[in-house]
Amino acid sequence: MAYTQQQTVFFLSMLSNLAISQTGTVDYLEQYLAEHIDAHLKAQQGDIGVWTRVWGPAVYQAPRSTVTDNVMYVARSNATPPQYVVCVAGTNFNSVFDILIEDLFVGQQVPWFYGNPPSGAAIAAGTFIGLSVLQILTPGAAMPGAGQGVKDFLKAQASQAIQVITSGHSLGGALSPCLALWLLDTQRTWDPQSRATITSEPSAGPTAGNATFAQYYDGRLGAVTTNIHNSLDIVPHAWNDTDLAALPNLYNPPIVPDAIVNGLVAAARQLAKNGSYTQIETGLQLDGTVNTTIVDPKRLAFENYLVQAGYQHIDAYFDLLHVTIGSTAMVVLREGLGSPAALRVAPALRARLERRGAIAAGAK
Amino acid sequence: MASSYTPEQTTFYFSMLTNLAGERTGTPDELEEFVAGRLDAHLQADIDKIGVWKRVWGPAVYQAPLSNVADNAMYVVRSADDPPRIVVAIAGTNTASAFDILVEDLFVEQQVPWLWGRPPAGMNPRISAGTFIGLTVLQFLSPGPSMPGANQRLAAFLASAVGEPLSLTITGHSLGGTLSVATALWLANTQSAWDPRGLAALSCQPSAGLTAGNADFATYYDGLLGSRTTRIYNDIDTIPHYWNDADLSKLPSLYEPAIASDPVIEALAAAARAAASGGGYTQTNRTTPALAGTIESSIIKPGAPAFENYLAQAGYQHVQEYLTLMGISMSAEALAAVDSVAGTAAALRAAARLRATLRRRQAIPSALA
Repeated sequence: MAYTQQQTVFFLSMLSNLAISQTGTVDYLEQYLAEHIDAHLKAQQGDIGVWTRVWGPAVYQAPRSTVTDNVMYVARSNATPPQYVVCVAGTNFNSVFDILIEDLFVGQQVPWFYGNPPSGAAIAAGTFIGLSVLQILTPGAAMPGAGQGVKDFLKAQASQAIQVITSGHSLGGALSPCLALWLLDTQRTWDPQSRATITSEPSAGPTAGNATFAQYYDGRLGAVTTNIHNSLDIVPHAWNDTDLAALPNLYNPPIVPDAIVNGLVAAARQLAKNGSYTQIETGLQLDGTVNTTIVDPKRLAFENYLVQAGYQHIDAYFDLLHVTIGSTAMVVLREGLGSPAALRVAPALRARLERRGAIAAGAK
Repeated sequence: MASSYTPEQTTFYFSMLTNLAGERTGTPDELEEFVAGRLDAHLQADIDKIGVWKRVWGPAVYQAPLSNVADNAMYVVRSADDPPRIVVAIAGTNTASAFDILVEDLFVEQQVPWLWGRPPAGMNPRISAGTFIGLTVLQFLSPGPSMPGANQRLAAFLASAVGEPLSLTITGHSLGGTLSVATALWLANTQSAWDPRGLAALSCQPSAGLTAGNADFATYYDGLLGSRTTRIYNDIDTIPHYWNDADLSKLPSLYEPAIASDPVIEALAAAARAAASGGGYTQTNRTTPALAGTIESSIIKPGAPAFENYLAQAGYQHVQEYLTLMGISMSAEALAAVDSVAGTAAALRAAARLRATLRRRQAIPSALA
């Protein structure tokens, strides 16, 4: 059966993450991703209809990095008016689980300086950096839209009525609404006739900014945004304090929080405490179910917690949204953003908590 | 004990020692432990030059996710003088050496409003995204459990360290020079929070730094700290030519006639000018005269491509020439470490990446890449 608009956009968004485990030059990574995106667009035409990759993928690599630190591409439908889905990957320079104690990305905020926001509207420094990358990112010579930023690309498309939908999962779920708001707040500069209608469908994102920012966003784009959250995904619980406070017992029972889980959550709350971080309106709350089959009694509670968190961050969305992407792609997404990624980061999280004195050395 | 170095020489010496970790890999704890040991050994060995100093905070090492080197480092030392001198020394970033970022549009094309203090009405000081990211790291950085100042951020440490009148100097070289300017202004803007009695006489000694921000930022900085800043730069160091447009335009012919300009260098300068265009980037203490560097002709290889000779010279002028101009001697170990992250070694390491980026943008023909 054909996918709904919502399912289709989620599917397109997830394709931006398919190079997450690859290393190489920017040109190689773009080529790799382009081939895989095209293959999936073709393979699931029966579900999604006819879509063409029309810009990108464009890959950003931080200095001396060998991975896809940021990725964006645009797919166009053959509907009338055409839809342009701007897909933003979760950033890779750290896994989303890594950032739970990355002070600098959340402890500092930057004012939102587009449009006419109320005084005090601000986004996290991490969101700001990610948005800055997306604003100047251009695809390499071999890709459609070579040398052209996404805004200039859309400007060229807006000679007729078009729909622009920004989408992204995980950290892309925080960046994609910001991208939509930036496009709307600067629309006069690239689409003076207002031929483009701008909407957003982020999923599984942490908060992008503070309460004033969320209020500004909701006023501008809330009505045309579908913010998708699985109730058992820890990522959308970051960085609002009330939401963070619910984390230790999110999977209890059966996973009783241990000292490390509690230490991690306490550290995250400490970092974000003065930021008044607030989610934009949640458009679609999915009711997650704890997957008890992956709870291993021989593991530390902390490790079971992370494995479950990874499952709820990736697999559960596909189940709850009734979307499939093929088993090979699922493995890639899990490796980069799901349970294996979460478990992989466990030693680093522990070491950092120990370094800060947030947990005792060797805590269980 | 009498010291033979002037205060400026001593401060510069501390600035160079922030790079002791070089390209060394390890956890933040391991890197801090290593730098602490080597730093203390240098403080002891050079006591007749610098006088008696003690490491009182850090070193604190920041490691970006997935990194295993010291991406940022900072430490604080205090002299036995009366009144005491405190020096905050900031390393240039290692992940992106100054040469690595020359084609990093993100760091220069985007600007962030200066978030602290109260700039005069009508003034819009802004800093580059790169400066902003680096300053944010430094504001949130704290040393690990076995270092002095463990788990204490710089501002909190200074609040506890300033109990009497003293001098407080912020210093750094290269990207550290840029960051020391931003850090000094942030500390000046927030001094009532960490030093409510105004006991610290704040000063800054940036060397070899790129511009931190726009013209309003420079004006705002100069108004508050210009007279308490000793800006040090070598006139034939490429790095302080970034990102002011008039300064960038001088880069291709900087080493002529010894090293002729070539298409790759011209493309690099053109890309830098394009990225910085509209940014209004302006050096703080712009009117401070430069030190007059001398081209080191012994490292020019007649058969090598001009681009490589240019980068090798740029690396030399960015590190070794300062030691000559400042009258400083460094241990072989310390010199090798700073060279690996900021000198000729860093410049040549960046060469392939710079070419690849220029080629990707079709700024140079593929035959040159």
